[in-house]
Amino acid sequence: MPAFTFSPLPRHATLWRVLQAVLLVGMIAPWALFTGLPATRAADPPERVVDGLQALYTFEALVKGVIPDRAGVGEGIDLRIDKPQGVRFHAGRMGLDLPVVVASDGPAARLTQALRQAQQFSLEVWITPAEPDQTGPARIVSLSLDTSKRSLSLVQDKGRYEVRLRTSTTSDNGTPSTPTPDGSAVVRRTHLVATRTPDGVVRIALDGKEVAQNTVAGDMNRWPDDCRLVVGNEVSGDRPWRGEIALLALYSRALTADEIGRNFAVGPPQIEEAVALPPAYFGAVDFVADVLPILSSRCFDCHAGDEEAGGLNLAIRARALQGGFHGALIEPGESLSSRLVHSIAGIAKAKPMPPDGPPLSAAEIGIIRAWIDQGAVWPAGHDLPDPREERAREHWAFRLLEDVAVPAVDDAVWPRTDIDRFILAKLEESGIKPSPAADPRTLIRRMTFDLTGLPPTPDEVEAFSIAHANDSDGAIAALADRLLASVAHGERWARHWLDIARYADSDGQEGDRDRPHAWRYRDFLIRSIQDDIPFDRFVRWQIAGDEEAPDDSQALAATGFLTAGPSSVLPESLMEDERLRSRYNELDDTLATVGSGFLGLTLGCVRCHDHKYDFLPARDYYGMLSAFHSGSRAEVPLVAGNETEKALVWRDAGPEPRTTWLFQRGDWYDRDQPVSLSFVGVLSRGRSADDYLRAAKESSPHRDTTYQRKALADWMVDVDHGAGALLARVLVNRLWQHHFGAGIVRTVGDFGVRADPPSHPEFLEWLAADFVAHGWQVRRLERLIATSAVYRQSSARRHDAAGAILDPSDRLLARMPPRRLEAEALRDAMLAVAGTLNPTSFGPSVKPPIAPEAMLARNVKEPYPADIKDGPEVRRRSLYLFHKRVVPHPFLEAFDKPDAQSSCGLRDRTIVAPQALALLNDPFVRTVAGEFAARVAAEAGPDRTLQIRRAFQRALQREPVSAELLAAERFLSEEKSGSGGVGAPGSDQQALVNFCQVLFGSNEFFHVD
Amino acid sequence: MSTDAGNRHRGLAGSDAGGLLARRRLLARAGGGFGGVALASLLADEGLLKCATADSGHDPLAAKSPHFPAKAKSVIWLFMEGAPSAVDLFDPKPELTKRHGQRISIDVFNGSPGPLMKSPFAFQQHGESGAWVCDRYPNVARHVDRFAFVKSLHSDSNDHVPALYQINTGLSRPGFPSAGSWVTYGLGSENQNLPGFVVLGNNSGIKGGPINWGSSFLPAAYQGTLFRSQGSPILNLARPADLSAAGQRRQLDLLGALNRRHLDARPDEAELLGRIQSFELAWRMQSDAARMIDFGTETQSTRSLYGLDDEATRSYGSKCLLARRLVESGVRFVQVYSDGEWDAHGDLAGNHSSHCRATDVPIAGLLEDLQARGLLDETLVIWGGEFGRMPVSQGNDGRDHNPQGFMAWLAGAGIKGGASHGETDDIGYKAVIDPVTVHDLHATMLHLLGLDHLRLTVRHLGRDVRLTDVAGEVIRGIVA
Repeated sequence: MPAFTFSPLPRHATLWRVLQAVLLVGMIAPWALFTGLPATRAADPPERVVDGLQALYTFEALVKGVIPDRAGVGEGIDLRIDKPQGVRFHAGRMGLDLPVVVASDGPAARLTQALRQAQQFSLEVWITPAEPDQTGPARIVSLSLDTSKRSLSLVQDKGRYEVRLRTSTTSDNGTPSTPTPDGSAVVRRTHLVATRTPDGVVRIALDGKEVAQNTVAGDMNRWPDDCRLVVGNEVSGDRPWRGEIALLALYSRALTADEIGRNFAVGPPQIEEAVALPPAYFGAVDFVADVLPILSSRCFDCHAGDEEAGGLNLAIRARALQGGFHGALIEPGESLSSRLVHSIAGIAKAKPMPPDGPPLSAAEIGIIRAWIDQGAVWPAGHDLPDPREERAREHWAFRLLEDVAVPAVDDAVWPRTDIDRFILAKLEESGIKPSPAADPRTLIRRMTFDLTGLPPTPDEVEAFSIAHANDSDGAIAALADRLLASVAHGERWARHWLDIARYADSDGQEGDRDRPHAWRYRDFLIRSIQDDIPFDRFVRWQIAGDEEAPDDSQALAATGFLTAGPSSVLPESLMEDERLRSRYNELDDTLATVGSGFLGLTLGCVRCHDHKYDFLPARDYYGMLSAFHSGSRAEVPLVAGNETEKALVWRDAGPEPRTTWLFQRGDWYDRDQPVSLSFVGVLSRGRSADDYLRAAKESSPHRDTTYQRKALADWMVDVDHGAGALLARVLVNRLWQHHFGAGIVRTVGDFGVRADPPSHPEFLEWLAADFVAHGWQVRRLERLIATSAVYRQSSARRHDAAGAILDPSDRLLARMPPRRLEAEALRDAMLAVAGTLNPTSFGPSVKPPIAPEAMLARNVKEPYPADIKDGPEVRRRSLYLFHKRVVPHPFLEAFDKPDAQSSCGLRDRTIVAPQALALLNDPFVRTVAGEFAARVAAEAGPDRTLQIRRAFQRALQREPVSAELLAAERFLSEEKSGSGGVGAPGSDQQALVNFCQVLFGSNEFFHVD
Repeated sequence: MSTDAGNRHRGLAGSDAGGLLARRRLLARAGGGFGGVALASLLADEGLLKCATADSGHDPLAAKSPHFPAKAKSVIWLFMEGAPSAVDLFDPKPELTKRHGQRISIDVFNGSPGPLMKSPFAFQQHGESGAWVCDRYPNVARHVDRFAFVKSLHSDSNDHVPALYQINTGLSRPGFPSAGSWVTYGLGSENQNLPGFVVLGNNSGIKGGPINWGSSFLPAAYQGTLFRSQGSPILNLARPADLSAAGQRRQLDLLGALNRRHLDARPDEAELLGRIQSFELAWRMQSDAARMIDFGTETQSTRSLYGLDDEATRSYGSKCLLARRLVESGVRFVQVYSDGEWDAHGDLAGNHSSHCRATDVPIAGLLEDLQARGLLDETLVIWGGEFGRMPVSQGNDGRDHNPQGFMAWLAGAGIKGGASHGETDDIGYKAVIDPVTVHDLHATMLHLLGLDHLRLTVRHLGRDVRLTDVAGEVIRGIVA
């Protein structure tokens, strides 16, 4: 697609010279120029009507802070914008995206008087609505006092325009109004003229054609002098219109149809008049320091390296001066006639550039102009064959780790850890004090759920409260240590990793065969977390455990990460196309999961084309893919010779790598370009894939594998020459997310240039560097977080003096953001509270009962059994439940457990009725409620009050307050008697079951403050 | 299926929420009919709906405006699972008949292709459009002037499940949101007491399972809900056997009291209020969803129209009737899977005859009923499978899979009746004239619903993902 298309310039030589002269004296209204010039030739374009003009506005930019009235009649009625940042100016149009008021400072009395005296008028606009359906009605132009008193308004209401005109026969609001036909307001540039003749005929013309006519009888004598003229809203600011406006003209007479046609033919203001150009910067500019950064940040996406949109490359001097398909764009010494300048300024019919994002600022355009005017000097040695690479290397996430100093803070008392100093520094910048610490019950509940996924017992709550009263810091540290050392903690964090690995116990796809040995990977996760193995080894083993430590059964099991994704087993007899499709889809899924899960890189896009934003060329993708292309899934004994203990692992077929091809556009029959192992270029510094591969081979005496994955893993954890810095940033961010609900970078699986920028960049950098400096120890970091003052804060919302919520997005962590339990934690908590959670850890996954009507897939090779009985053996923690990909567990699925089809770093947190239905009606919930009730009755005895208290202690880790106790007692007695409804009276035990089920459904049960 | 709420009711938090709940309860007890509508008017009467519509950010299924005026409000997708054969149903190929028995060089899914095989069925032209229909679809044939045929579809995979994923999600790999979930994501639903996207499944299950109607990385509120036409239509709709309706109501009242007290201490947490309301919605759904499958209110002539009295047509007829009731109630997107599968690897004549028999009367009845109720003008009806079948035989009398050329027809809202777009080659193997991709079909569907497929996006892993991936063009020739 050509980047620049416009007509030859100048099209009018005389005018052109005048304009150049005008430039020297400053900004002058473009229309004044046009209308001031005599028509010299019949072939000249038609000119706008000036007779009767009372006010005229064009909207190319603010002039001295206002939209000036360019009519030149009497005292100008300039318009001012209440929130100038709410509008944008581009290519001669003012875009209204946000509710702003563009209005005359005071009454537009001159205008009112002129129109009132004439008893006629014309109102003309060039507009582009942002949406066909706008309501309010949305005010495009209004001469009014407030929302219901006006002299004249042009509005958009649903799919039509309306003119409201106040006369002696209408309401103060100008109704009944004159509408255009339904559906006539559409999203395109529209010329609209509304006229009224002295005899009361109102006409509306769209694009030169009359579409509405109406008689609005009476006189206009009631038009008050104090109406203001307003654009894009009502004077009161509450009837916003969204769209773009290029021109507004008001005449004190009704234009004829011919005149309307003439104005339409002239078209909207063409700002090819160079007066719309920002002035050139007055001083000397330096290409490298001043110009290159602008080109690099705004132009190189499409005009550098391999991307040469319109044939234009702006990163190489010779190419830039040569121009694109349509010739030169830069005329050294002549910025006014350089098409590059027209384009970035959006004038002269040039295609406005850049096409995405905000237009260049006036200052930036001024620098480009000055550079061209000063000869377009481009020093040698500053051509950038692939400038995106340099830019990507400078992206905050892709840089080497930097040492960051812990900031100084005013409040020396609050911080407990360096973490707190970073968070506090930002809060102090915003003038917000941290929240007070939460009470001990909230703290132990929060920390126990966060670190183990289970609720604390009443005894644990009591013991902690006592310890906390004596020494809160000591009690919190001891609690963190106890929880972090528990198996439950390994289970909790293994579950987070299982989401990332999109782990399930079956293949998925049509056959969905069971994977009876897949659970070894899950157990590897739990053990690794429990043993606190350094995170770099944790990663290396998951990529290449078999090559790193072939004799270590845990290292073998770790490669289950690579096997965890969905797959299909296709017979050799099927057509090759299908088998290739399946194979490459799986490899792509594996690479995408490695990329997003560990490195926050969105490699999936690169399969078909170079990454548009992150500088990930397809060659990098296929170079990385070759690390996996030589291997496949295999079921192998964990210990040689022991056929009973198998794991589903990844294995290379042998020592020789299979050839990997660079498939253009993902076409797997394109085998022209073999690629060898290579890694992401922007994350590599001074060591090649070959260097890593050589070292990997030398590290081991075995010769039964390619060592490509070990080379990749070594590169991934290498903080000096490879991706280690990024790996560390991604990991500490995930840890943070699982304690505070959101990451410092919210897009946890995407750290590319389009990622959410970190809320605390220095802090993220410090965390990552500190993590690496201390040997990638995850537990140390978790302990630091759990004992911090930030983590201890109350979750109560606070408000400022004006009543606004403080830190409403929790971005500054002015409080602890409350969270909802995940699906597994909810189920586990119900079982734990009921006392029927089977605490067995590790081992093969167990299949829980699933209602046959929830099994919706046909042709599953190993169908899910329909007759599984509930019982202790299936009351395991949820991460031990068998996840059959095409038969998802309905309860867990309802509460947003991911489907294990692709990597998930951040779960949804939906609120949908099926969740409520599950809590009300799922037989499992009902059964567990029964068990909970039995436990409560056994522990509390027959006394109703004691039962209620015990149930609260178990489920909510607190005593009921008196109102709750009363409500619960009333509920139990009504249940017993059957009063308050037609239900049959139940037994005491039945009533208690119903009550216990209510606690499971309560918001407090599964929200953590 | 979703939440009513979130911060849109922020102004009602605290004590006033109790008032709102009381009114809702009143409504529920008064048997408020199809709650969404009644509730909306009740709230509007009380001036409460203003804030409900002002910020619908937390109500994923609240009805949303399309990008431009829509031709269709809802979609009924008659999904012929297993892949029906175009050359045997709507697209006869004289050349295929002529060359019957000839061997050609061709690569087929299961290997060992047979020779070219003519259709076992007789064809006739119907309607003013003169469209060809085989003799096994006599009732469907009466409606051909309403149809726009797309006879040049093609897709990527020769295997059912990847092909099902592709026609449902745009891509043959798992891990992407289904078309129905995109549509409800874009438009919400008109009825908050029912799911916005309903799947009426194959009575023997669907190959590839729930991914076919999953929401993937779109919020789960947009995923399809499988609705059964007998028994309990959706999971967990029936109360526990040992709990009376009054008992459950008492549970909800106590739950409401506890939750409101909890909320009072956290008045700014929209999610908490949303959850309170989700329980009330669930309470209403229990009756509303159950009422959907109660055909007692339908007349005998309607029942006959859909073939409910005939064993052979009852199953698909019930699903078609349920589909009409659902769109009538404001459900946005309904997929109606055929039973068994059109997967005629052998005995194509027997397989297709029996599937035509099971679906002919129900489909014709549905079109007639939609027309009679004025619903056809606002409902887009799509007929088709996940791919097509080979012109060559498999095992003497069957046909193997063919993604290179297959067909669908569309009818109803915004469709140019009598149109036909694209063609396969002379033997019905490959789409050669105006080929249409699944992305094009999806783009067209969205277009008729007032959605621009280029603008219906969600940011996922750094990319603005859409149903049509990086392709898709509206098939202008079939749009009225």
